[in-house]
Amino acid sequence: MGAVPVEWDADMAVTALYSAHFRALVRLAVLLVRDIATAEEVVQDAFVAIHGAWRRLRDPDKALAYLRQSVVNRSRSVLRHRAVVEKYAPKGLPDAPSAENGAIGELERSAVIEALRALPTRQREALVLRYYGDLSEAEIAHAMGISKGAVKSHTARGMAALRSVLEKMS
Amino acid sequence: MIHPPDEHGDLLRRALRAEADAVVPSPDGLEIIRARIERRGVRNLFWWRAGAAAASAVLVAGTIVMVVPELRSQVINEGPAQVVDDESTLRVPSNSSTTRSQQPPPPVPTTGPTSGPNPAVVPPETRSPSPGRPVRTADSTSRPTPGRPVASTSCPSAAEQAEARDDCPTLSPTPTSTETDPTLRPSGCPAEECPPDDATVGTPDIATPLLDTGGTTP
Repeated sequence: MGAVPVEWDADMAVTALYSAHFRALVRLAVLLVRDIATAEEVVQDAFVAIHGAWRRLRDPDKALAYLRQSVVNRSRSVLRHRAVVEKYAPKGLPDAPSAENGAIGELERSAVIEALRALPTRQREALVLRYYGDLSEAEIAHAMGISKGAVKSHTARGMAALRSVLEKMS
Repeated sequence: MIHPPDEHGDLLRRALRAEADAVVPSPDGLEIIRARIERRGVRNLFWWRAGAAAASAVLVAGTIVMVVPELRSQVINEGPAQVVDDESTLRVPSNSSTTRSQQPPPPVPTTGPTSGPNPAVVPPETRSPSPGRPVRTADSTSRPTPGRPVASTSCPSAAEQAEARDDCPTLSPTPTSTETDPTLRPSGCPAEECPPDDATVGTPDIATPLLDTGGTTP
């Protein structure tokens, strides 16, 4: 998955990681920061950071974990900055474009996404990493920088908060 | 118990995937990343150069200072001199034990002509007149500037002290001056009879230590 040959230099590693994971990371970031442009910027920053830290990265297999953790941390800081900006200049944020007709109706899906966005940051991160990223609790804990118990707690609380909306869908 | 969370989990997973699949990142992401990497490298290089330039400038300045003997002697002499002064001023008060406010007088007797500082230096004599002073000063100012030519005793005493000091500069003047000085202060040169030369000479020097001692005793 995220394995990159050790002998590659930083440029080659960034190119390989980009082609393999950039799209998924941008989508992960979109679910966290609710904005495509910001999500792309966050992921690009993560790639720039891993390029600078490539020599210090002992285990290339952890490149994806490094990128994911970097994306989560930067998304968190973006949301923190955005909260400050919205506090002093309240404006409606542009919603991410939702053009999709799948098994779920448009309204129901948008209701779930809105409910997800209303969650606290940690709960939203835990739910997105688990149900979109399909990560284990250990991987989520590493990406969020918290313990497994905290991951369980955030996940349970987030699901409890979304339960009413999800029951309407089922 | 397990089924409801899984059901909700599946629903949430589908909703998230549908939302995420709608996102199509821009194709020029890799170019943007490379441009940022280049910019970052240039920026780091700039800061490395700036830091190296500053460090080299400091190094050159240090070598010049250490190589030129005059500059080196100046630098070395300036530093310890200040430290010694500070320490000496700090040590004197600590050694003088009880009266801290009277610490300034001790250095004065060594330097000055022994008129002003001596009374402030000797602690017992200053203490004994100090209780009587406030009453005398109040009396002297209020009542008897006219009626207390008794102060005349003070005025000649001041003159005599000045003479005595000139005669005996070393040991005896220090106690005598302290006794006479308080009398001079309350009389405070209101005495018009006082000889102007001696009074003017004695008062300014004495006035400040008296004020200091009077302030310290309470």
